[in-house]
Amino acid sequence: MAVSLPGSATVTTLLSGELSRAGVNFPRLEVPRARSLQGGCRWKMAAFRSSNSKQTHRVIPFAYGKENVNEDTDEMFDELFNKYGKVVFKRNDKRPSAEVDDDAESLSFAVAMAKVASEVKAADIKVLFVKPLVYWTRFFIIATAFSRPQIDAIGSRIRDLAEKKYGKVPSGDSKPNSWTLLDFGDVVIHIFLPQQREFYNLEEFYANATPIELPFENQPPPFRP
Amino acid sequence: MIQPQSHLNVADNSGARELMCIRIIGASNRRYAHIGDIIVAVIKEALPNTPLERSEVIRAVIVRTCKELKRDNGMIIRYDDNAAVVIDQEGNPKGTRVFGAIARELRQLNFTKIVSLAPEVL
Repeated sequence: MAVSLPGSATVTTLLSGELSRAGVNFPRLEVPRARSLQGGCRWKMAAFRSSNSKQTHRVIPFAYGKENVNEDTDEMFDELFNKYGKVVFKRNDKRPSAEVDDDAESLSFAVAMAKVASEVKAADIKVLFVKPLVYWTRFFIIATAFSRPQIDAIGSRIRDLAEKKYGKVPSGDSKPNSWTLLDFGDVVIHIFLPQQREFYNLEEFYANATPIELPFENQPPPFRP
Repeated sequence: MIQPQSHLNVADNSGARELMCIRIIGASNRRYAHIGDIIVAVIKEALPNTPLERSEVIRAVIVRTCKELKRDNGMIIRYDDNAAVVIDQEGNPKGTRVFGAIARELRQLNFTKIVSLAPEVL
């Protein structure tokens, strides 16, 4: 099966041709529309058949010549319907509780990481819940540091705590960089120098994500004339 | 399948429009580059009034190829164009946004910065 993407080429050339960095608002990521749920129509069918069972002589188009059998199944459906109420059939692969658990776990991890960053004086820390926007991660932490040694300090503190307490090892940058990224899978941490933070403007790109309230005092971005 | 002299589109807003591959980074005698490989390229065409200029030598990461990308689960991804994102020596992208769809293999290859700037990840 080949998945080719028609239009990606044309879009690319158009956009990169006409947009320059200055003065153009870039599109934000948007939440994809929810797909219609399956399994919602099954109970209606059961109800339809049960209403038919009272008029046995009517021929149902999808059960030609099998009226006796049909009656049996109708009774079966009636029974099931009475027993289980509206939902007769439910997909087994849906486990919302496990998903919620995973989310809560990553949230506590993200908040712990943000707290460590604030202990090393990272400024303007933001934790964003980006799961509705991108499928590949759950939380973004965006923080500003003011020098490369500070980035190094924040990165190593985060790495130490993650490894000791949670047993997670990040991929991403190992050396301090002007944009240092630590990828823990479900949580991605971006540490910027102030210039780079303004330049890449990740918050604006992910503006549709829900920001998470942090339980500690956050240093506001410093005023720079 | 990108080799020296291949021309590529640019999938970001760095200001370059077209690149030509001149070297593949990795082994000494490597023939082709695929998605997620770093190449050395020369800018053949650039937008005016941007930091990048024509005939400048830069590094870039390949993000889309016409040659199919096969996954272990049997999925095959093939794009309509060859495209790359301009990066600097540290691996930070030169542009601030990436255009078009990007394969998730880039994240495994430690280009999560490019992935986090992209609008769509396949």
